[in-house]
Amino acid sequence: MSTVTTAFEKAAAEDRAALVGYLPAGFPDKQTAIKAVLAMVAAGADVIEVGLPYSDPLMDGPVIADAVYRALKGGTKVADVFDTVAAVADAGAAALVMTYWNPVDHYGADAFSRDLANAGGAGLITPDLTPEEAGPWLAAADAHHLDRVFLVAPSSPPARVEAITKVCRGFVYAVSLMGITGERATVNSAAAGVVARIREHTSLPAAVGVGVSTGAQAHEVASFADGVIVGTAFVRRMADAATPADAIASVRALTADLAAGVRRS
Amino acid sequence: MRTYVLQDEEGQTLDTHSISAGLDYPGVGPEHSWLKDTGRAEYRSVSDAQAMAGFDALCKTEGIIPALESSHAVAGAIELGRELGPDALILVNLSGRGDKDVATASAYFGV
Repeated sequence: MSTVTTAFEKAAAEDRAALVGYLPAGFPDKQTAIKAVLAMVAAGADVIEVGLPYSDPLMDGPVIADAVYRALKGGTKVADVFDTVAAVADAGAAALVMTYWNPVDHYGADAFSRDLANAGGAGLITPDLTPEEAGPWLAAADAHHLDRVFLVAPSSPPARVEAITKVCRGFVYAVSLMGITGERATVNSAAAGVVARIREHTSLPAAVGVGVSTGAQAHEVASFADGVIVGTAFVRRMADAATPADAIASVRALTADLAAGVRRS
Repeated sequence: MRTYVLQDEEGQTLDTHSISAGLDYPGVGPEHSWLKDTGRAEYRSVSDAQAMAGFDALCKTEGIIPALESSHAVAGAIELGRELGPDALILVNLSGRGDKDVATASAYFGV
């Protein structure tokens, strides 16, 4: 059983949604990013999504796109992502890598999976990989016992939800809206429907991401989903902080707010 | 479906440049990749300078203003013609017209 599955089961047993927090490796620099994800773990995040900075981040809004651009300009490599994953795993938390497919394809799906597993990583979130094109990843994930998180959109028809959830392991990523990552004033009303449609096809946990950024929104999402995924709000706090110490403190405070929010009672 | 992409050793897409906006992109369509891999087509690269020489040549010899994208094909045909000799018969697919590109061409040639 993967560390991700364990994290979701533990959260469910505590009558709360699992809190999944995203930060890209190497932003604003490697060590600060590592300290930030460790602060997220210490403050109550159940699963960490370590972003692999990519030059064409097609699902991401300006806050994350700018952060990963700066991480790449700073020289962030795949090896730095694995180091960040290892730090999370060593701290006892589940670490997934959120990555666009081309860097994995270029590295080799099996070699990437092997090195991720060796770093203690639990699996991948693959926003731009369709099940039809995922053959090498499905095989590598089986060989190295990794979780596979694919995304379901509000527009995904039932046959599509079936195809996507069939190849998922760990949890299913329910995208709350037809758009890019970023903070929104309210949680999109489509989110609950996406989760409901996922539940018709799988018993895997469903976690809602995109546009969730506050404790109040996390609380709302926790009423219908198994997990709450927050990315941009963390990245913006990192970007807005005057010093690395401020960035860590701000990430810790947001994590605590969200960790309180995901409790259902 | 896979395609050819200009990328670095970590799979990061590279920044690109082309005088032709339509070619200033790091990838190609998967159909071209397939045609290349199956050996049904041969692809060559053409520099900005070669493309603009092709543009210039077609304008002056035929009175046809080719798109800057298509100017690359003209440049490729000139190169191929030199290789095959005067008896060769070469068909060029002039895929677009260049009236949209006259400002770029004007700046390039300084006219």
